[in-house]
Amino acid sequence: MTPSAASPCDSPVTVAADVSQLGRLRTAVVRLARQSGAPDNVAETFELAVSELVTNVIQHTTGETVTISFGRADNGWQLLVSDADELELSEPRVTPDPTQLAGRGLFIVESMMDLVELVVIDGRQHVRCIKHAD
Amino acid sequence: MSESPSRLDIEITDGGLSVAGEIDAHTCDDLASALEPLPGSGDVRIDMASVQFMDSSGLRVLIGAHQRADAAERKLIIERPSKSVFRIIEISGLADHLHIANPA
Repeated sequence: MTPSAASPCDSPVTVAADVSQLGRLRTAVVRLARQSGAPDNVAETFELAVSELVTNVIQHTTGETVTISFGRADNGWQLLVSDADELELSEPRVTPDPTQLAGRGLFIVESMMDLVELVVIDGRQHVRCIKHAD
Repeated sequence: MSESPSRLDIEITDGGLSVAGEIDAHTCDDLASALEPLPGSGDVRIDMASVQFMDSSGLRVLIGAHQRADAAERKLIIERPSKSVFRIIEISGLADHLHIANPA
């Protein structure tokens, strides 16, 4: 998929690119989601999404930091995760084999969200996911 | 930020394990260690009622343990999976593949 240009959203949070930071990022996203009026099920969806996406970025890129941003989008909410330079989205989406041990993270995020795409902001590739309000 | 890193508590029980906390890429190695080798000699019951969060890192550990149990003609039984645990199992299409007892 070819990344498209996009604008950053609200509330950037930058942490070291280390899995020990995952809990902090999840807590931050849930707090931001609730502050923005998101219902519990939407906050929990973004909690899981940020964990999957940041884990993927940490495991597949060499950057020293990861930045996430969360905010309102048209008719919903959006999460941005940088720097997703090595990330590739697959189309069409294929359900992983039950015996497959790894490689479910992006499938899970794509299953929960209304839109998942790669975008370029300030020359850096991000993954953006959007969940519409019901 | 003042939030704490994720934390996982694992307790050995008569039939297997009781797990509480958050299972992610930071903590999943602790769960993997507790399940490798599989505890006991019969079916392994892992109580997950107090797991507040689990992502696909935890799922990977459970699938691996499930496969090792199958190979040894044993069962890995996920007891009382919390809402978070059951949710990711369902999203991944594994609800009919893993052995699950008494979901929340």
